[in-house]
Amino acid sequence: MSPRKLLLLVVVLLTLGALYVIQDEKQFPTKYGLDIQGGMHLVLEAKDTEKIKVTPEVMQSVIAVVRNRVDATGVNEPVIQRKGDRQVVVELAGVKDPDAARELLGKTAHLTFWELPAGVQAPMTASGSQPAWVKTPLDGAMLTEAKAEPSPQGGWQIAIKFNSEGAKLFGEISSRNVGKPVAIRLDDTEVSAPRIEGPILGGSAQITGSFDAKSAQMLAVQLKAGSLPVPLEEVETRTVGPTLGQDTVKASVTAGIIGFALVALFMLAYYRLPGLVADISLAIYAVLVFAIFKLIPVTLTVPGIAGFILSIGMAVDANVLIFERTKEELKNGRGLYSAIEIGFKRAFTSIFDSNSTTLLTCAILYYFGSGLVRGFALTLAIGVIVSLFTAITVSRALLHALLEGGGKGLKSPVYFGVKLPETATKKAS
Amino acid sequence: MATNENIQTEKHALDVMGHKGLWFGVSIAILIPCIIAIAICFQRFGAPVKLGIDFTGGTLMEVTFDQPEKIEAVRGVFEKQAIEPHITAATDEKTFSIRTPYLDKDKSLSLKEDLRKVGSFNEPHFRLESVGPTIGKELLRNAAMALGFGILGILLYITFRYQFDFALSAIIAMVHDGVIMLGTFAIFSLVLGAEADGLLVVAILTIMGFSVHDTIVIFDRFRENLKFAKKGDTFGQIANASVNQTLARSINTSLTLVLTLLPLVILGGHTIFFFTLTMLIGVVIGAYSSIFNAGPILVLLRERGNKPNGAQTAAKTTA
Repeated sequence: MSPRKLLLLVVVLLTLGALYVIQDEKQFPTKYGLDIQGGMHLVLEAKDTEKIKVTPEVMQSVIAVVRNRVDATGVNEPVIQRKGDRQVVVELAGVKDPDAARELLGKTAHLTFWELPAGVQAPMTASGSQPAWVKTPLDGAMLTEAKAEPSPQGGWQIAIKFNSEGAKLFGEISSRNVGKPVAIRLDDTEVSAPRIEGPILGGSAQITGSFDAKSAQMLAVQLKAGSLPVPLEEVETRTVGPTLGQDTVKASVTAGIIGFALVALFMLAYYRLPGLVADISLAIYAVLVFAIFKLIPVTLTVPGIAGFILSIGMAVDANVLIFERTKEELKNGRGLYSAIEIGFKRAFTSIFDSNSTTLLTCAILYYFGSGLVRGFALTLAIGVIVSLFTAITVSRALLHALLEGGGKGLKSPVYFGVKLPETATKKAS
Repeated sequence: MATNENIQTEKHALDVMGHKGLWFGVSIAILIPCIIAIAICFQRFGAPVKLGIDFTGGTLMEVTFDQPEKIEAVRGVFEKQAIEPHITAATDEKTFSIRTPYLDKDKSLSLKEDLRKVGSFNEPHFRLESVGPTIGKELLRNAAMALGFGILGILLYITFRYQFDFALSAIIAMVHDGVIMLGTFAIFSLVLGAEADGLLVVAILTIMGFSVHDTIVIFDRFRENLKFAKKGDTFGQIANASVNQTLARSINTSLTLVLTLLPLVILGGHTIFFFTLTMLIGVVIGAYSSIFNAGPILVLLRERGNKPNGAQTAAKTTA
C-alpha cells in the first residue's frame, strides 16, 4: 500500500472513530459550561482572623472542607480550584437550589462544647446575668458522624458521634456535669444547652434545638464536613438559570450550521474541485474537533462554541492559501501534479507562521484569562492545531485520491477554477 | 520563479505602495471618530469604553416574572433598601435587568426574596451575577497584562522569523485594528449603552492575533519574493507585487470569517451579541490593515531607514 493510500485509510478510520465518540453520549458525554446548563460560579476569599493568618496550609484545609461540603450536596462533577493566594473557585453545574448552596459553602460551622464552672448550677443567675461558661477541649473536629433525624419531640435534631478521643472527653464532661446543662455552640451562637441526665459514655449524642428538616440537614453537612479554619467571604457569584443558556446554544448551533454551509458553498463555487476537497476536509475537521472536545473533555461554553465556529472560518484559510498558490502555478503553465505539490509546499511556511501567532494569542488568553475566556482560547487552539492536520494532510490525500480515482475528466485545470491561455493548456495537459 | 521574472513591469490590480497616502488617510478617517468616542467615554466613564460589572464590580440581576410587572414596583424593592438600581425592562414587561453596586450574599438573597413579593417568577430564569470590586480590578489588570504580553510575544516571534521592522509594521497595523475595535465599542457604549465585559478583551485580542495572522501571510510572500529579487527591483515594487499576489487569498479568508461570524451575530443571542459584532468589525478592519497598512508602513520604514537598495540587503539577511 502506498503511503498516500495508507494515510487515506488512517483518515477514514480516525473519522469513523470520531463519529463513534460523538454519537456515544453515555461513554463520552459532552461537557457543557455553567452558562449553558445553568448553575453557579462562586469565588470565595479566605479572610485572616486575629488568631489565624491565611497560609498555603490553611488554604489546603479550607479547600478540603469546601470539597466535603460540596460533595454532600450531591452535585455532579463540581469544580473546586484554588485561585491566587486566598481564593477558592467553586463551580456547581445544574445545582437546583443555588441560594442554599451559597449559604452552605461559606459558613465556618465551628462546633464547641461549654460547661459551667464547678459549683455553679444553672446558666442564669438570680440577677439575670450570664454566668461564665467555660470552654471544654471537646470540639467539632472530633466528630465522626453527624446526621439529621426526626426528633422524638417532633421537629428535627442532629445525631452526632465522636471518635475515641472525643468519646472519652464527652464521657468525662457528661460525668462531671450530671444535672447541669452543657452548652453547644456553633461558631458564636448557642444552638442548645441540654441538661445532662447521666454520664454518656458511648460517644453518641444529639443536638437539639429549633431545627426544621432543611436546617438540620444543613447543619449536619457543615458539622460532618468539618469547620473552616478561617471565615470565607463571597467575592464573586454568578448563577445562571438553565433555560437561558440552552436558548443561546440552540441559536449558536443554528448559526454554526448556517456559517458552515455558507463557507462550504463559497469554497465550492470559487475553487471547484479543490473546493469540494476543502469542504470534505472541513467536515472531517468539525467531526475530529468535536470528538476531541468530548475526549479531553473540554467544557463547552457559549464563547467556546463561538471560538469553535470561528475556527471553521480560520481552518479554511490554510486551504485557501494552498489553492491560491496552486492556481498561480497552473496559470504559470505548470502541470497539474507539480502545481499541487508546489502549492502545498510553498504555502506551508506562511500557514505555519500565521497559525503560530494565533496559538501564541491563545496561550496568552488561556494564561491570563479565567472561565469563559479560557474556554474560548482552548477551543480556538484545538481548532487551529486540528486544522493544520486536516487542511494540509487530509486535503492533500483526498485531492490525490480524487485525481487518481476520477479518471481523465477531473484532471483539467478548469476544475481548479483556472482559465488557461491557449499555450498553457497544452503544457498543463 | 516564474512570478518574479518581471516584477518591475508586472501589472497589478492594486497599486498599494503608490497610494500610501490614500490608505493611511482612510485609516486616519476611521481612527478619528473612534478616538473621539474613546475620549468622550474617558470623560464620562473614566475608561475607554463603558465598563460592565466584570471590571467595576457590582451586582446584576435578571428576573423574568410570570406576569408583566410595573418597573416602579421593581425599583421600589431596591430603593427601600437605599440601593439606587439601574433597571432596563424588556418590551414584554416581564424581564428586568437590574444593575446595582456590589451587594453581598445576605443582601442579594434578601432582595431576591423581596422580588418574589412583587410577583411570582420561575427560578430557572433567574440570573444573578455579583462581582466584588477587587475581582474587577484583577480582571482589568489581567487584560492589560494579556495585551502587553501578546504584543511582546508577537513582536519577538516575527522578529525571530522575519526581521524587526516586519514585526514593527505588523504590530502597528494590529494596534490600529485594536484601537478601531475599542473605538467602535466606545460608540456602542455611547449610543446603545453597551457595557464591556471580559468577552470584549477576548474579542479584541483574538482579532489582533488574526490581524497578525493575515499580515504574516503577506509578509511571507515579501520574504519569498525578496529572495528572488533582481538588481534594480525596489523594495516598494516587491512589496506591491507581494500584496497583489496574495490579494485573492486575503479577501477570501476574511470573507469565510465574515460568513461564519455573520450568522453568529444575527442568531447568537444577546449574551454574545457585542462580542461577535466586535469581532466581525475587527475581521474587516484587520483585512484592510493587513493589505493597505502593514506593507506600506514597512516600505516607509525601509525607505526612511536609508537603504536605497533595501531589497538587496533584506534579501541577504532573510535568505
